Amino acid sequence: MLKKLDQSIRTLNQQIDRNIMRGHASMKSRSQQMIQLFKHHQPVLTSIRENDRRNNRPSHQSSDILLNKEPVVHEEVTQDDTYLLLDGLLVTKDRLSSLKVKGDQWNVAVNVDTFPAITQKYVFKRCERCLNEDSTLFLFFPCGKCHKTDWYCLNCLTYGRITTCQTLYHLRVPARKIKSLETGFQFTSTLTPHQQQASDRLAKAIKTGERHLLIHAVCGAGKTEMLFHGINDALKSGKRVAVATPRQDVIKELLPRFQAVFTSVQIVCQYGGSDDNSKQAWLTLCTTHQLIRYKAAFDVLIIDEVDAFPYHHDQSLIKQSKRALKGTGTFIYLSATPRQALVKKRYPTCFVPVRYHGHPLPVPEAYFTRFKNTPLPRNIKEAIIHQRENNRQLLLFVATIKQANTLLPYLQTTFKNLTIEAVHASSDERKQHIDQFRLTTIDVLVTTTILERGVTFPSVDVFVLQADHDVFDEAALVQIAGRAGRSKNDPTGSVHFYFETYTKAIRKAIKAIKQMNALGEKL
Amino acid sequence: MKCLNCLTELDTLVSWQSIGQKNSLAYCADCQPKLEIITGTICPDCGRGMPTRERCGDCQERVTKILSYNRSLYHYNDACKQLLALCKYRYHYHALTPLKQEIHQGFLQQYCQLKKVTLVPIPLSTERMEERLFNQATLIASMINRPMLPLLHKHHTDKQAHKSRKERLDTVNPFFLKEGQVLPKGPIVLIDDVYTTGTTIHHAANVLHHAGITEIYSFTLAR
Ligand SMILES: [Zn+2]
Ligand SMILES: [Zn+2]
Ligand SMILES: [Zn+2]
Repeated sequence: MLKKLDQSIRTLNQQIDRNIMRGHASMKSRSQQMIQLFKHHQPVLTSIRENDRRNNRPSHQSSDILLNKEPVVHEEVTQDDTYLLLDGLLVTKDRLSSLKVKGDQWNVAVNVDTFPAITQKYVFKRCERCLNEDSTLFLFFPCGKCHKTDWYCLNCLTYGRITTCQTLYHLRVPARKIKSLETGFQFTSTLTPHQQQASDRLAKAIKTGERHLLIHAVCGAGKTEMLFHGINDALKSGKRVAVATPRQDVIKELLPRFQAVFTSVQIVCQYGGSDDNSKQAWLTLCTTHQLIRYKAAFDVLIIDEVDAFPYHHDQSLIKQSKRALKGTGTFIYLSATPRQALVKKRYPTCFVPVRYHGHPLPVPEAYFTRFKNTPLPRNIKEAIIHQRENNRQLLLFVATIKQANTLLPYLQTTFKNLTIEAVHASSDERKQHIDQFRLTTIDVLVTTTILERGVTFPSVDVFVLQADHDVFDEAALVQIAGRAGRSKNDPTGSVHFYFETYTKAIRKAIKAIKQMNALGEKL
Repeated sequence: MKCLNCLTELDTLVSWQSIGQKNSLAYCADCQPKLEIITGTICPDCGRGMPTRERCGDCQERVTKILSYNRSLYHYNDACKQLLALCKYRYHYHALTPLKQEIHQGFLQQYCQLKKVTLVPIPLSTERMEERLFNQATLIASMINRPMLPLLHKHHTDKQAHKSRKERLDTVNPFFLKEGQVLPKGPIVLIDDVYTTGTTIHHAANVLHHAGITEIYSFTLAR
């Protein structure tokens, strides 16, 4: 049998070579000849495929072109999806052995690169998993296995300890062919001209494989809607897409929206404590922290709210996201308030200065207020009384958890007829209160910066107490002001900043909002 | 310097003293574990905090009296559980380092009357050791300024935490003496992270007792 195959290959090659000699040497004609020849030599095809598996490398020139033109052999070269999705995973030994159990074709399908988990150059250490290079975040300990002094990385301890004597494994699964994904795209709502423009720009960047694109869209511009078409195209052309954001709340809000649009795509949603963290998919929604699991895994990486804490000032997070993207992949940054560091990179930028409903952003009014003697100064009390005359709910931003806790009982006793609650990062009823506020059963919600972005309430006014506090930087203030006037039915809203010192952040935030409004008017 | 748990930068005052103690590790105000030191009346056998100075229910049931008594430093409250989990299950070797001084002082307070004392940490099985890469009992023992001698070995058993009290009491002794060790003359204090039912400590004490050691105490971080 083998002999027979061998012989037919030889005759095949000879025939091709003869043809080339005759002058039909171009790639295309060669493959076409192959097709012609294969039709008469079925056994040869299988043998070539065997070879491919063995060498773990497709002979693209023959079989791939063949596949596009010959539906007859389509199902023969299949590659297991489970393996394909392992591409780009960065794992430790335990995880590797648990993955290996998955199938008997492991050795054939998956290439594994190994490297030490912590590398050292002179005195500088680097954790190869989280890419942390801060020497104060490496601690030594006497290793009970190799009986040497080992180091472990404190930066990524949450994801399992990484020590000097460990090895990391990078899985690579080269795709045999481009796999077009059936997306079940269900997105019918029409985009505004501005959204459409940004959407087209994004789709173009993905299609042509641009490296970077910044979409600078004001709060309430409808950023998420601009993504869908581009992502759909990418998935259809066999690209793997990740949407990442620094905030867990944001990613949880995005998931149902994506599920409604991509009805036949399995979406994994990864964040600290999610059940999906060990899964892989063609469309991944995750917090930027979760990108630690990947190396050269995605073709498109969209980072939403790129200016949010802690992404912008955690160098290792930035490095991790760069690593998660393939060398040929496309970075899309989304932001309403891009930081200077990002703006300075001068990436191609797409501005969307108008909200989806076309109305300008509410411009904040700043009031000098003394907070020394009381948690609730008189002018704020009056402003709240005045605010209650309209139908909007009120979001009261405070700087610290402590302040939220002292202000709440004070407000509750002052305004006995109102339902007032407080939320902050460590409050147990956080989700419950936010839901209640959304259902308008709560009138006034006191909050720390956790509600600064990502969450949308249709009709609110926003007051910021102690807007001169350090936590309220320019980006935070712009984002907070962007909570007001989100709905089409109530596109205005008042934003008040109460301050003791007129900080640079307040000045710049107001200026930035006015600038965006001016830009929007021009269009 | 950064907090050992949340990694936020700690604003420490740079003084002559702080330069002297290099690499001092600490927790920030938010992450500082809220540990309670056991004070007042305790069970004379196991060192548990009690309303009166009499033996607790667990200790009254125990018939064998090989271990002289156990003493512990902290109440085994939620904060203490969390801290030990950070050390043992998240493999954070230095999680206990900020308590070093307190542990040393706590030991001295209980056992300063003992002369020529030797510390024997409760061992880990090889399997567990390969996973964790350090023994938390050895780690605690190393914080106490007394000679330490790892006399014991341990067979691999299922995790104690998954067992009921009855099951734990019934298990066979997993410890055995290391070969070729010269036994110390003075009293021995077994060291472990936590004393729950006391089975582990009593098993270890049994082995040492059969080897011919007469005075055996134990000291654990939590009770
Ligand atoms: Zn690391
Ligand atoms: Zn901390
Ligand atoms: Zn007792």
